[in-house]
Amino acid sequence: MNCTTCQKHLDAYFDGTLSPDLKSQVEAHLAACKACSEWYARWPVVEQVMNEEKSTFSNPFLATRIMVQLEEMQSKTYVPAHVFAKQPVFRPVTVMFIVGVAISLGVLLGNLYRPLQVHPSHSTELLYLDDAAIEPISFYEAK
Amino acid sequence: MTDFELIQEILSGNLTLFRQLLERHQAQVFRTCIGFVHHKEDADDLTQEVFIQAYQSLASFKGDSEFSTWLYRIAVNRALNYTRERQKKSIFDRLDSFFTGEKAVQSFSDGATEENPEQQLIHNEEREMIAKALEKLPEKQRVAIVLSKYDDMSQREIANVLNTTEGAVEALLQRAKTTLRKELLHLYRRHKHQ
Ligand SMILES: [Zn+2]
Repeated sequence: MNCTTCQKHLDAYFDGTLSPDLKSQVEAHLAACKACSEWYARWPVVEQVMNEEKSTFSNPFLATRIMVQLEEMQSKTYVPAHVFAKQPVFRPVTVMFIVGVAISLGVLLGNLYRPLQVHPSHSTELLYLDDAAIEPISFYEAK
Repeated sequence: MTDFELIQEILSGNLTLFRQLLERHQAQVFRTCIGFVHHKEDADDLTQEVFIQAYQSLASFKGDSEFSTWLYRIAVNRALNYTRERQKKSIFDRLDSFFTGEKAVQSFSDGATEENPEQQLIHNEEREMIAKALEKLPEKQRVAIVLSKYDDMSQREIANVLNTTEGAVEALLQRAKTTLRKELLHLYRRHKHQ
């Protein structure tokens, strides 16, 4: 018996439903083949792990959670949460986009700046005159 | 009320009846999901996605198969998408954890068993290896083994979900076990040499 045939009969062998002839052939192969005997020892553990996972129960509030989401979807204000949460690319892309917009806005605003142009006929000192501080000429013309 | 009658009622606007449909099939969908993701919270999320999609495409259910078969198809598709996404994501996670020093390890044992800590420890390694080996199976083989082992479906029922023949399912299961065996023995050996 080769490995493939042995594997094929293992399920039935575990269940004890193999004919005596096949059973002794399987046993002979298991005694001679390291890989198959290792698998024979391991398979019940695999089954057990699968059975344990299978007997896990879902969150007791899951049904309520689903109903709430469905009701939210029915009222039109619904924005599916997974659009933001379940797309790992979405956030980096959004962040990059915002950063890009901020930079180009900065460059644009920077380019709009023009240094104050002073007419050549005025001296720059005139710009620093505080008009509010100048006393009215009538003050000196008193009496 | 049968599933079909319930669905007619829901489609005519009685959303609250969807809860009955949910309660009837939730455990079944959850088992399929955990067979693919091996993590309780992820399986919860996935179950939720499956039912939301089921609700959204409920009108396309014409009743020419059992509702549960139709639902299994959605669950299988969703679960496969989910694991594909996760495989893609895990590459980034690994990069991420390389820089942050964090360990991006999925827990396979959350609240699943109550054993003594020592037993639990051995078990977790075993679990992780088994989950890893299952995840490495080609998709069709994985679907066949999950439906058979987690949902206790007969080969005929699996054939219905996958739209194929019983013979094909039998071959698929056989191949799945062979692949699983090779992968697991490989993992065990590597583990022993560590
Ligand atoms: Zn062998």
